[in-house]
Amino acid sequence: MEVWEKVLIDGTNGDAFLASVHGQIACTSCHGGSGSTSDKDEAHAGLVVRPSETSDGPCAECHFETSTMPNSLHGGLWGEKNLVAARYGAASFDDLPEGVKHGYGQNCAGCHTSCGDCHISRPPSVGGGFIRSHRFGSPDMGNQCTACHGSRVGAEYRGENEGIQADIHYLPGGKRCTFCHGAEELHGSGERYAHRLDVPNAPQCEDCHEPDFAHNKWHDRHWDELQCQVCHSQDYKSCNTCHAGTGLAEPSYIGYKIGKNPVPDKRRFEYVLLRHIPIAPDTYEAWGVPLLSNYEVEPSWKYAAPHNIQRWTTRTDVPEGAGCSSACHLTENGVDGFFLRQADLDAMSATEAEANRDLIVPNGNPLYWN
Amino acid sequence: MKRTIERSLCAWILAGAVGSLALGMVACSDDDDHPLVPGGTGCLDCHTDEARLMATATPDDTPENEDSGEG
Repeated sequence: MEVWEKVLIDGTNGDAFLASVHGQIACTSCHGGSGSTSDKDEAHAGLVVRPSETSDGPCAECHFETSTMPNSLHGGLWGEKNLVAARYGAASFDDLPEGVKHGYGQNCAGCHTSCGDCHISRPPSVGGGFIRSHRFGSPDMGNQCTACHGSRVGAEYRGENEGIQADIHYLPGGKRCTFCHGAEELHGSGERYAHRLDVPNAPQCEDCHEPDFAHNKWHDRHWDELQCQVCHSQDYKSCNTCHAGTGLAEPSYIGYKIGKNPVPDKRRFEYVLLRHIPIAPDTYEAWGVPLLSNYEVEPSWKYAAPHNIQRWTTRTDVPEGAGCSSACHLTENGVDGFFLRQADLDAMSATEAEANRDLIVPNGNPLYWN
Repeated sequence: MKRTIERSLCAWILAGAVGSLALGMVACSDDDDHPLVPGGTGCLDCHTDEARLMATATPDDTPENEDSGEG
């Protein structure tokens, strides 16, 4: 997007914005500066580029939702901050050294969202700019949601990973993110949650899909035992070894792993899909932390809900006469198998293996695990 | 007669109270903080004029973010 394009109000969307309630408010009321001169520098003196950056900005005068944003995950990034603190060994993010907090602000906080980042412009992390000539609207999947949630969720949802179909909810009709992830969930309740899975009103498959126990023997057998995505997700992306400021040291890869649920207090399932996240003991070296002293306190394989759902997947689409168990139960014990096992721990460093030890399953056919 | 005068007096008192209330609401209005007029000749004269924006644009030296995002 060209610099001038980012701030142009024109076309049908521009006309609609100017005719809207928001368009009737003087620009300077929200953005500061001066509206009485046509000299650029004079007009931009005291300009506030992102007036909704703080929750007590102009949006708050009419929109009560802004009061919950500081404690929301999008507004405060609290889930991410809590993990940084936990692995460092601090009681909270506020207790971290200033160098770590500064580094986090530089390298990780770009996905903090203001009202405008979801309702008006592209987020700063992807260069900003109006997506609809300043017209206010529901979050745009391509320009806003997946601008931040792009490399994994966005790519999975739209079928951009080679050989892997788009999510069934994306086709036909193209369900947007907001179909499942509503305003109540994203604006938050005002309460600060430590984990994204603690947020109320997060979508569940059962919100729309009821199990057919009478006619689906696999649902009858596995409904509360297996997360829905265990059967209905395609292979998905995992990442390795991120370093603050420089990114991934090793390429991401497509894979699939079932393991024990690392958050049984948050989701009822016994076995879930796990995605490897790119945290390494030296991820924050650039922030003055050569090695994270509490690295093993949190697993590096995390509860995952890949956004590439299909009814028929490698796990459910089996040869005529074969049961689904042939696709799962007989998978190999090694690192190429479907389950997170001892072989996967053996391929990790001792520190990382310790972090994930509680998530592995026994070798062999699950029918004989107990 | 006395009853009619009392009713008229009550009506005037009520009307006066309602009128004061209305005046008070207007006086407390924060319309002055957000005048309901478009952006002024300065702002929209530029920001609705593609050619003018192109002519006055300052090159953005911020490095393009190659990251395809988190999550």
